[in-house]
Amino acid sequence: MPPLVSGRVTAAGAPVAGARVMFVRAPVALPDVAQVSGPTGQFALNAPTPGRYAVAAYAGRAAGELQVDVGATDVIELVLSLREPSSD
Amino acid sequence: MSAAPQGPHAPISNLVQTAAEAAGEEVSPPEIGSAGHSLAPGEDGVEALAQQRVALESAGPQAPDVAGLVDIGRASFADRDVVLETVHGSDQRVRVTDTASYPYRVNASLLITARDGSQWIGTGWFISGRTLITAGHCVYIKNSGLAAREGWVRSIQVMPGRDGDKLPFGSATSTQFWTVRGWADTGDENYDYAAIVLPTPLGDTVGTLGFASPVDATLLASVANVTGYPGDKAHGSELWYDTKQIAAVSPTKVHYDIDTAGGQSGAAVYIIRDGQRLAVAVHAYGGPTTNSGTRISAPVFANLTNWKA
Repeated sequence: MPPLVSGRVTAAGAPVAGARVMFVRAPVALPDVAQVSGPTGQFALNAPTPGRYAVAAYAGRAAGELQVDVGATDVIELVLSLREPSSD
Repeated sequence: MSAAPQGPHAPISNLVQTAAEAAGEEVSPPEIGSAGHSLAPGEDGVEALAQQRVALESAGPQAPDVAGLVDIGRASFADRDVVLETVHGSDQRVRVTDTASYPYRVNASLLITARDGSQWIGTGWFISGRTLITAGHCVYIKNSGLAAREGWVRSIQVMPGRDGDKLPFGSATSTQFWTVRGWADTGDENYDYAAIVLPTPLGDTVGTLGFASPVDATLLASVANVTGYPGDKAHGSELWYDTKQIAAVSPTKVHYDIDTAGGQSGAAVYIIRDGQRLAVAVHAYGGPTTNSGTRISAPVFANLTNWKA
């Protein structure tokens, strides 16, 4: 089984359903799809090879991104917190 | 009907098979559709919309986003150290707002429900009244790491010409799909293409893109256009466009430096020739320096032709 990057999307600590979750950086070319976060904000993306990935979530104007190092058999759990862009 | 390809291009489907009526041709011409209004293409093989892109580029100095970029000398799809970045440098995508006009309305926002109930977004495009083309991984999930997710997806909601919350042509939900052995058996990206068959002929209204299987020299001299529903823009509900010269080709793939994002899998990679929009690849992958799609080679052309319904 390839490693998984999974977790929840939140905003101000509350789960966000319907966010678009995708890898934006990865060690290899990847399918250009995005997952829609579930009712509790959950998502699970497969990382086909070990290495450094950046996973991002988008909901309206809010976005969040985290970088993770994935090992050969890892199942990574993380919380992606969304923030609105600053108005400056 | 063309003879069905064998080997990895052998077509497979989850539906009870009935012969799709289609005529085999080397170039399948586009149809504008009964909805009428059609936008003329721009010059030099791009959509007129590309003028907005040029205007943005010349509007003034703009600091490129260099975060995550690697030395081009290290860029290779086989190099595990390089990074995926489907928007390369500054983002040059332009939003399409006239989504109800041809050719933009042939593009559909896809909401995909996988076997495990997880949902995904992608893009598809009509080739006939009831058939859209998309990536193989949009209809058949392979190598996901989750056994419950693998295989044919449950359903796909198809929303042609979507613009945010507006669905100018409504939507239809499909549970009938085609892909090929080369994708379903091993998940080989060289065979990553598929079809969605709708219960209603929405394509008769919105029209179709043509498709063709040009030789290498023609492709390498062409400008490619990609329009799709990227997930990093407004919930993946807006249509965005970009265009650039085709960068490289192989017998099974077309590579280009057109900016894309997750959600654009399945979009048509098309050229404009003699005023006709002709798809030459199915966008499927984001890579470190170029993105890529499955080339419409002769066997792909034969399958697309046979999948028309």
